[in-house]
Amino acid sequence: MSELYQVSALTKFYGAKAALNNVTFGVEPGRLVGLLGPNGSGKTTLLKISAGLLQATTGQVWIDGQEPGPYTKAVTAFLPDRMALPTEYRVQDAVSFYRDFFSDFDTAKVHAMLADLKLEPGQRIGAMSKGTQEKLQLCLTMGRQARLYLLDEPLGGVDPAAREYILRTILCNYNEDAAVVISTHLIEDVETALDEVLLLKDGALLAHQNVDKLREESGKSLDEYFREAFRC
Amino acid sequence: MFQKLFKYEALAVGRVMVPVWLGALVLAVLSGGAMQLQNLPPFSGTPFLVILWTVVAPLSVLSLLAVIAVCIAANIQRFYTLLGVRGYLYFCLPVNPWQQLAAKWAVAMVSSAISVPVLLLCSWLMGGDWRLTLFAGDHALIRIEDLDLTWQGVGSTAYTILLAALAVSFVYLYFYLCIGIGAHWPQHRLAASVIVYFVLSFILQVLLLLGLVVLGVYLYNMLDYEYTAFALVTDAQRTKWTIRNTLLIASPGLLLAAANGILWAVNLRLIGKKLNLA
Repeated sequence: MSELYQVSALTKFYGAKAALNNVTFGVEPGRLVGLLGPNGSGKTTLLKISAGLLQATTGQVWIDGQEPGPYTKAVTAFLPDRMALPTEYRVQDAVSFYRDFFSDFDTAKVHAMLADLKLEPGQRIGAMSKGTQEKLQLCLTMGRQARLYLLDEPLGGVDPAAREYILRTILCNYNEDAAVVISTHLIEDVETALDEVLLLKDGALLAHQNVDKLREESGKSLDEYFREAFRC
Repeated sequence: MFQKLFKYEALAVGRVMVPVWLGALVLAVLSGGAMQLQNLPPFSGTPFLVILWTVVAPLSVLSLLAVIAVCIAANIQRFYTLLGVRGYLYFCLPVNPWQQLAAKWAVAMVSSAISVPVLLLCSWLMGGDWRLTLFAGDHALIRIEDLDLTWQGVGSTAYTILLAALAVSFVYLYFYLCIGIGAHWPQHRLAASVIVYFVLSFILQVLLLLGLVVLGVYLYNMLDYEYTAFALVTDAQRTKWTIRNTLLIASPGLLLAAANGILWAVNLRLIGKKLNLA
């Protein structure tokens, strides 16, 4: 099967420091990939370049055969690691915004997800707790029928119950032909759901493996493997 | 997509500007109304009206300044947030960078253009003589008798409006440029933008001063030549002078248009090929 998301010799320098160093990999459709690594390993930089928010120093990214641009943004749903929705918006404004700009946005599905969260359409985003804001942003992202989902730390900064809800939302709502890349260091929470893992260390790709194979070869769980690989 | 971006941008700026416009109009009505009532015999010298006018009149003048300041600040702040946290939403939209820039710029221009009649109306209302129509009399907003409806008059008015629009556009694009360059220092984005503004402004002022000196010397030499040779002027020379004078009149417009074009291209590069969201 051809790769939906390809990264080739990707390098990004911030001044003299390399945030990404010659990273190359490919992800096929239908795969759920964990992008793992300690803080500062380059996870967010990789996702931001792929989402078209940052320019690489060298190397290329292709999504569905195209370099980041209007086309790739139309088929990629990116969840940033911060709250990007205007806080003056109400829930219904945010839904309208997504519906207006993304042709793959499924309004009915999002309304169902919002009902699960007990979020009223008239509720102001600025008045919500941080966790609820994150959940709303996730609902809007997963409400798209995208080809590729790039989720940057969707589980960070929320309580375990919310983590469970978020993970369930991701797993239940992505298109089967789509690929999902989840950046996290909360490996235990996602381990059972992942098909593949990308391990980043100091900006370099340490491993890109099938999770079952990695467990089999190492005789360890992914969490144990990660702890050993990144021991300080 | 541009229309959608424009719609959301206009709603965001309108959310700030509409209350400011309405506030300025209300203050102008109160100020002008208090003044007008004081001139009517039953109310003249009423302490309440005197106090009301004393309080509201300065506020009304300040509100005129506020309209200008808030309009510029709101539009610049929109661009600033685009290169900050809001960029994580807007730059993920399936649109081209020029559409992002054009939407911000167009809304800035439209909101500035709306502010002009609002300011004129406020000034007229503050004058306190509402018996006169908008287009006639001493306190009219625009006096028909002052309008020059010849081709030359209409042309020069249109050129003045064009110059003003280009100047306003330059101001916004210049602020966008400073913010765009400042965004390359993600840790101190605001401070970097302010420093860029002062450094670039200083360089531009020096260049402008040098340009004016050169232009002044050139014009002085030309005028001297024209004066001494006036009696011997030929048709060919007259045509040459007409072309030259036309170019001189058009030069501020051409200069501003060129500056706008350069700023547009650089800004587009900063939010396109050079985009680096913090």
